[in-house]
Amino acid sequence: MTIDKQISYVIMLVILSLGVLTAVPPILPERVVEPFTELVVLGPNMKLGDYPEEVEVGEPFTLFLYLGNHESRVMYYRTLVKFGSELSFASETEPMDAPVIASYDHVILNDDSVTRQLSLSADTAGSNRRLVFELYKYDESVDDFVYSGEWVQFWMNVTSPA
Amino acid sequence: MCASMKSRAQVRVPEFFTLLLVIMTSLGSFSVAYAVDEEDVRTELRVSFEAVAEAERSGGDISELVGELNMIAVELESASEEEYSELLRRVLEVAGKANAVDSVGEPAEMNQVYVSTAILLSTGLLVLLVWALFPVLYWKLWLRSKGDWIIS
Repeated sequence: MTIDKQISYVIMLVILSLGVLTAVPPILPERVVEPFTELVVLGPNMKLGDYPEEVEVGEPFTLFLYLGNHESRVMYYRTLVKFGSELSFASETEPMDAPVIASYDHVILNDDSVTRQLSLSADTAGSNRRLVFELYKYDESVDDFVYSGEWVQFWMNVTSPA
Repeated sequence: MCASMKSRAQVRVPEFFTLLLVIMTSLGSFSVAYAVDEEDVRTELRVSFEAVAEAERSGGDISELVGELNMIAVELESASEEEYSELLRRVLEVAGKANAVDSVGEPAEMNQVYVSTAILLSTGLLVLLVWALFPVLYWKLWLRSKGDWIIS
């Protein structure tokens, strides 16, 4: 093979590689390794931890809810806040069977997030009560919100007002 | 005769009031039927979200619409009955805009395919040109730079 052929093959290879690398990615569907949503509850100072552990019935306490959408598509979320007893059971498969004390809906773009301040209060006294945040995602096929299996909980002692 | 006319008049008065009552009741139920409640807004919110999601799948820019839908969802939590109509109007507006974005999004997605196809075709053409013309160009350049060399 003569030198001119060798050089021309190298140039052709470089051009071909650049062309394919430029043209192909935009037409391929975006690859998502593992779609997920961040459900985080922050304390009154917008930090992890520092959560209220003891409150009175009816006494408002502040928390912050953070939702991050990494599902590679726009999402419609519903977060239910439930106050359960010591014996209430929360799991990834079944939502906790306890009264809903608050509900928050959010529509979030892919790779975007929402942080909002919540003012909550307990309606009945009890020790080791579970404050659970459950995440639901709107499912177009059933036209309803479906429990995603993501949840966060805190243990709280709720005392009667003195 | 006179007695007959009197009895007709007696019948007409209650009939008139009955008719009036029916009309008023109908008007009342008409307004009730069109009163917007929270569930109406939530239902339309879901419909609008589906339209926005479809627009996103078509490659449209939905960032503004998502911001508006999220704002409506938050405002709905503390909205009074008087505010439901306005929220519903805003939700329907988002749905309308989403459908418009959807129809714009499809050509945008196709444009991306056209651009990529054009780049690939140009690449192929460049490769062919190099294959066909490079040897000639190479030797012309070689002769120009080294043609006056003398072998001794």
